[in-house]
Parts: sequence; C-alpha cells; structure tokens
Amino acid sequence: MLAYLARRLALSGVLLLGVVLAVFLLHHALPMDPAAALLGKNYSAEKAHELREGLGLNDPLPVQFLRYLGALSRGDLGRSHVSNVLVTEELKKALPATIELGLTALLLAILLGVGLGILTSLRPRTWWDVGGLTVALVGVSLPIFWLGFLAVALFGDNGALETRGQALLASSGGGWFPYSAGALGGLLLVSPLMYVGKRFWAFLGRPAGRVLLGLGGCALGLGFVHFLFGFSGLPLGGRFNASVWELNTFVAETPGTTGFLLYDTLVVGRDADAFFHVCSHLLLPALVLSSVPTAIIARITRASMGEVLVQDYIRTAKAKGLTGRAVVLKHALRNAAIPIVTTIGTQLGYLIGGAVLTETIFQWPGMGRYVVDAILASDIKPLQASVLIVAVSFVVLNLVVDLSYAWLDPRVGDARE
Amino acid sequence: MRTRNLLPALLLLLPFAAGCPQGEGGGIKKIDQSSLVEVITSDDAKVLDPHTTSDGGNVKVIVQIYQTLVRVDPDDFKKALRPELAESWTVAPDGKSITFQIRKGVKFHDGADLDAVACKLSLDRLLERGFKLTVSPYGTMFGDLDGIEAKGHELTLTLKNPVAPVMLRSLSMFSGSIVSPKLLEATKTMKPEEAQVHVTQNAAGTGPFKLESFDPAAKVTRLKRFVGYWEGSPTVETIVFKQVADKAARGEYIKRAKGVILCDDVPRELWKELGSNEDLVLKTWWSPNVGYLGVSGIHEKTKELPLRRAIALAIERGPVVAHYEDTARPTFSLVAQVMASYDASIHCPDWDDDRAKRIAKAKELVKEAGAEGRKLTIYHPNQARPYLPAPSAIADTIRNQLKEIGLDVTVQGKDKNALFPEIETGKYELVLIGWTTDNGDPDNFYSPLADGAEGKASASNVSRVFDAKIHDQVMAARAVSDPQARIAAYRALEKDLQTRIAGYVPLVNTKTAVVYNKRLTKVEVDGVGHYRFHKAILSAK
Repeated sequence: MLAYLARRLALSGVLLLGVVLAVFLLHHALPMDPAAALLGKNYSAEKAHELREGLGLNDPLPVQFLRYLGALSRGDLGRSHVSNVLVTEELKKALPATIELGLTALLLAILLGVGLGILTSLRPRTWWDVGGLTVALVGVSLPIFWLGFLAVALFGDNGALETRGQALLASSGGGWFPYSAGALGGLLLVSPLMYVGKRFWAFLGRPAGRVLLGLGGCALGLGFVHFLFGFSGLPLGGRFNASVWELNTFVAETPGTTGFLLYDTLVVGRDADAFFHVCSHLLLPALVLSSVPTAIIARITRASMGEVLVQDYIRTAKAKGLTGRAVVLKHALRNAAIPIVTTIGTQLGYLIGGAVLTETIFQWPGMGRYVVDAILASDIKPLQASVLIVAVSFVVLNLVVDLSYAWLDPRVGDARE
Repeated sequence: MRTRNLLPALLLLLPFAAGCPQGEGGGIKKIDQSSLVEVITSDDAKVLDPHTTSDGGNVKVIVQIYQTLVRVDPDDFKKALRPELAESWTVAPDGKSITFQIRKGVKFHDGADLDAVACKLSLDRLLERGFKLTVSPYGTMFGDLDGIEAKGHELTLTLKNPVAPVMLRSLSMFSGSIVSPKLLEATKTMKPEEAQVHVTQNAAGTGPFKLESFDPAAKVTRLKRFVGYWEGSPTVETIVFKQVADKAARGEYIKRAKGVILCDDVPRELWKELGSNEDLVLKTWWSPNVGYLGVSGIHEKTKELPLRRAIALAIERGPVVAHYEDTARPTFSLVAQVMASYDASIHCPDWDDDRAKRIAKAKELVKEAGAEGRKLTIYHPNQARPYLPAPSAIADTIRNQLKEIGLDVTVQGKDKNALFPEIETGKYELVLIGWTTDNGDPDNFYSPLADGAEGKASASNVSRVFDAKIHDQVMAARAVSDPQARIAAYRALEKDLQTRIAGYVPLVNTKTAVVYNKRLTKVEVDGVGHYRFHKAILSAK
C-alpha cells in the first residue's frame, strides 16, 4: 500500500512539473506583450525594452523557467497589470467563490445523480428507468448557457437582471417565476397519476411518492409566496447583494472567516438571515452547474449498480433477510462505488475549471469570471495562475481518486504492489 | 439520536441560529436602504489612485473621494473655474506663476489636515518627484510645472512657460486630486505597484464620501458619507457602485430597479422611454467629446498624404450618425462642437457638400497615392464608449464607404485594454476612437490627440505624427491669454492639421445622459459628465 502511495505521489509530482512547464510556455506562446500591457499609455519602444530587461524577459528560456519555478516555490504568482494587486490576493477571493459553488453543485450532483442511478438500476426497463435516463440525457445534452438562461427565466428574479441573456429573456416576456413555480408544482404532483393510475394514493405513501409530493408542494408554495408576499424569484447576480449586506466587510474584518460564505455566515456570523441570503444566491447557479455531473453520475451509478445487483453476494444478503435499504446501500452501493468515485473526482475538477459559463451567466465572482476578465484585459499573470491552479487541481483530484480506490478496495493497492 | 436523523434535526435548528450570540465581528451588517444610492455603471473600478489612472470606471469613484484645488463650473464647464480646496488664487501678470490660498479647517478621511504642504506632496507625486509611479497617464499635462512652494496655507506654483490658464484647467482634473499626506508618506518606501495598491485600498481624500469597502474581485465598491466633510456632512449615507456591463441588461436594470439608482451610461435607444418615465429624471446634454477615425501618418499602408485626404473626403457622416438614435450630430473638427474654438466652416481640403464630387476627387487621390485596392483594417474597441455606442456597426458603415473609393477594408474589434495601450506602438493604420475632455480646454484635445513632446507623438495621438510646426502652434496657443486670440489660434491649428497631416477624420459629437430617480434631488452633474452627491437629498417614497 505504501509503495502504491509513493508511486502515485511521484507520478503526480512529474505531472505537476509538466503542468508548470506548459503554463510557462503558454505565457510565451500567447500573442501578448507583457511590456506593452504593463506600460499601457506610457508605452515606448525604449521603455518596453528597459522593462523587458528588468523583468528578465530577454534572458534565455531555461533561465526564465528556473526563475519562474523559484517564484512559484515562494508562492509568488506575480501581479495583475490592471490592478497591480498580487495575484495570490485576488485568488484568495476568487477561489473560495468557485470552490463553494463547485462543491455545492457536486453535492447536488451526488445526491441527485446517485439517487437517480440507484432508482433506475432497481427498476430496469420501467417508466422510472426511461424517465431517469431521459433526465440524464437531457442533462448531458443541454448546453450550460442554455440551461442557465432557462433557469434564469423560470426561477430568477427579473428585478435584478445583470447580463444580456437575462435581459433578453426579461424583455421577451420575463417575470415567469410564479407561473413556472406553480406549473412545476402541478406537474410534480400530477405526474404520479400518469404512471400509477389507481394506485395513486398508495404511491404517495411510498418514499418516491413522498419526494414528489414534497417537491411539488414546495414549488406550488413558492408560487403562493409570490402572490402573498411579492417574492419574485431567486437572485441572479453574484454571491450576495452588496447593496443590502456588508458581507465582504464582515469577511475582511472578522477573525475566523474563510471566504466560504455559507460557513462564514452560519458558523462565524451565526446569522440565519445572511445564511439564507447566501443560499438563495447559490441555489440557481449550483443547480445549473450540477446538471452535467448529475447526468454523468446517474448513468455511471446505474451501469455499475446494474452489474453488482446480479452478483451472488447480493442474493445472499437478501437471503439472510436484510432489508432492501441495507442490501442496496451497504452491499451493492459500496461495491459499485469505484467507478462512481472516479467520476465524482473528475467531475469536481471540471466544476472548478469549467464553471466559466455558469459564472458568467450568474455574475459569480469566481475563477471563471477571473479568467474571462484576465483574457479580456490581456492580463497575463492572472491568466497563467488560473490555468496553473485548474491544472494542479485536476492532478491533485486524480491523486485523491486513485488513493480512494485503494481505500475502497484494498485489492487495488495490493495488486499493483 | 440516530445519525440518520441528525441532519434533518440540524436543518430544523437552522432558523434559530439568528438568535445565537453573534460572532467576534459583531454580526453581519445590513445597509440602511432608506439612505442608499446605487450607481449603475458599465465599467467597474479597479484602481483608486488618481495619479496613476485614466480609466473612466475608476474616475467615477475617485471624484467622490478626492477633490482638487479648483474645479470646473458644474453649471457650465466653459465658465471660469470655481474654488474647491483652494479658496482663491492669483495669477502673476506674466502668466508664469499661480499662488493659491488653501482652504483652512479641511480634514482628510484619515484625520490628516489639509495645508499647502499636503497639496505639494500630491503634486510632487504626480510629477514623480520623490515618488515613482507605475504609470502617469496625465503626467505630461503637468509638464509645465516647475517649482512648487508650500508655506502654511499658501501654495505657489511656478511654470516653465506662461500657461497659467491651461495649468489651472489641468489642476481641475481628477488627476490633480489631493491625496492625504499621511497616505502618501507611507508609499515613499514602497515599490510603485505596491504604492498604487496601498493608495487604492486606503484611499483618503477630502471629498464628501469615504471608501468603506473596495473589493474588485467581488465587484463591490461602497462609499459612506464623510461626517467631517468641510461643506457639511452629506445626507446620502451610502453609495454602492454596481457594474452592469451589458447595455440591454443595464436598460432592464434601470427600468426595474427597486431602490434609488443613478445610471451614467444610459442606453441611447431608451432615452425617450426613460425620459417619459414618471419615476425617473433623465438629464441629457451635448458632451464635450468627439468620435473620430484616427489615420496613421507613419503606417506603411496609410503613409501617403493623398490617401489620408481621400479617406477624409470619402466618409459621409449621416450614415454614421444614424447609429446614435438621434443623440449625435456630424462634426468636422477635432475639438468638441460645444467648445468656443469649434468652427463649423472648417472642413478638410477639397470638401464639397455634394458627396458624388467628393468621391470622384477621393478616387483621384487614391490613384495618386497608388493605393487602389489596398487592404486596410479599421480597428475599434469592443466595448461601447460614450462617443461610440456601437463600435462594430459604425466601423462597418465606414468600411462600406471606403470601399466606394477602391479600398479593400476589413474591420477588427479589440478589447479596449489591449487596443488603447498599443496605439503608441504605431501598428494600427486606422482606429475608430474618440475623446472626452476632462477639463474643458481646447488644449486638452490638440495636445494629447495631435501633438507630442521631445520629437515623439503622444500616446493617444493615433496619427503617430510629431510635427515641429504643429507642436509650436500648440505650445503658442496655450500661452495666449486673450480669449478671442486663443480661439483664432486653435482654428488655425485645426486647418493646418487637416491640410498637412490629415491624421484623423472627425465624425460625431454626441449627447450624453444620466438618469436617476425623482426621489433623488440636487445631484450635481457637470458638463464633463462627473456627478456628485454632496448636496443630494433623498426623499421618502
């Protein structure tokens, strides 16, 4: 096991070095002149030459690479030429925003994806299976930007539009929230009828029926809340409304805060009002971001569970008289977990690196927005640092996933030894 | 309690968390909505150091925090300057020195006192005397400043040339802001980039609002009223700057805003609708700006004078103005049409109101330059500017017009942060761009846009031509004290530029607008587009 661990660590180290080299070369491959960017309106050929000399940009590439490695080892990622702020300082704010969004989306994806996967695997070739697979297919097929705009139109507060897509939807009717919430509620409540017919009331007494009942009730309830209290939908822009809450001041000035607003408002600030405000901002982008991983996790879970559920030990477990829940969760799911865990690990990497569209649609001040702003402003250092962080997070997550194999199935580590 | 029941139990307890004792920070504050103004902008602020920025998004915040020695008249920027941190000033008869009496009893946001020494320190930094700046976008405008003497509350500036009126205008610009001496002293030992960040994060001026929270990453810029403000504490308590970059989204935001807002970049197609909205005030005025096509005089593709003159003849303003929703008018000089030195009779050589004749002449000139079928590119900023609301569409209109004279023109958009700094490299032959004066003086057009210094074209001079005779004319016009003689000097300069250099084609002069709720009264909006809330009153709904 230790040898396996050491081998994986060494391999990851080599991979990281490759990533650093690629990022370094990217800097030199881009058609951006750092001297022009830094000098701005003060640009002149002489000044640019002087600056390149001062920055060591005229040195041979290997020398520059070693210097870059040295700076990285000191945690020095350079400064943004737009704001002159240290990139590390800016990342301290952008990273928690993206991680919070990514983890929430992943949590939703795991809950929904694994749940859907189990449900469809337990009832193959039924309407449940077809329905689940359709949801998965839709999740994978629909582009994030379209899903994002749809979510905005259906559940967003049209009084707080901040992007072009949001505005287009609003100007073409908009304000659909109460109707969409009501319609969804009705659909969820009535849908069981389509499948179970006369056994409707009995179905509502079962867990799946209760889930549908709950969701439908919530959606209908939101529709009523709108008509009764004027609640007009979920907020659309940013992590919180800076015109209402002084949350950034709180995070900056309060010891123990982390930049993860869910934690900071609930645990450090102990303010349920602020916590729910942050949750309301997080919900729509997290749901949209979770669509693809939910679909992928659901499909992997279904396939993996399908293989495990026909195994002899499952039959044995059933024969022993264990409850269905114990058989599925304790015996089947754990044995089906390896491909699911792999998928979850890689999806987290995608969520951190690939949230660009979601962050742009919802004005989320995370890594995605940071990268877009850096590209638009030809701001090389933030761009370089962002690429590096995303790449490193992929490498680290893959390492964690590999190590979790060995934990879930000790044969993996032993076999390779 | 079984583990599986723990989560629902915790969730049920969540709403009661509000009743728990607050954390060490004393809880999370909510902003009083009854005294809040949201400023909706297209650009967000990233740097709040007035000496190192020229970006409009930064300037909007800077003018709320900092003040200058003198300021333009908010009612008419062409009128005489008004006192601000200087109570009064006298100009020596030879126009080579100005003595200011600095206002007494004024405090900076960090508690420092305002005196002549504090003012000297800011001007020294602007001129990089004892300080090093990352960039100094407007440093050259203060290049005539020679000696700065501070004694108590008396500040004396001596000038290299007799250009006191122009220098006073320059001092009214945000770049002449007086920053807290306490703050500046601390930056003396810092690297320039660290100093810029330090001044930004600890911004302290004498203005009516002080920086409460600045977090560009989270797009948060919040100001609070400065209770110790020398004209009296403002009644508006909080100003929040909110960037809504997209034009359509900004329009929707204005229409649907629930609180009190002010928007300084109002989509032109909404002016009529917003003007008739009973909850809003739409204020429009002719801006001291010009939108123009810069034509390089040194670029390989446009270096022939006949070709540049042909381009000037071929462009018809009418179709360009059509992109502005009736909020622009054709213009024919580099100086803004609202300025006294603008002369509607000045046109490029061979001008004829009959376009067919102009096109025929332009074709001859293209032939003379041997440029038939030449491939050219019009570069434009991707982002809308006050003088270019639809850069790509306007560039396309011009492209089609230039095709008529046998030029093969393409259009290419670039991010403004990439395009503007690269103008100085001289790599662009045609740039669609514009300018709004910050101080209301004609010199603020010709000096940066058509001149330079020490044999080199200035950074914003798209023609990239430094012409010794033009330079002498610019310098001479600065020193003229008689208003009529000065107007004549700039008109002569304009004619000479269009005849001998042909480095730009003036296109439009536009109106500009701000919109705000009727609940907000006494907002001061000046002709150069700066707005201030120090006297503003927020009435109840």
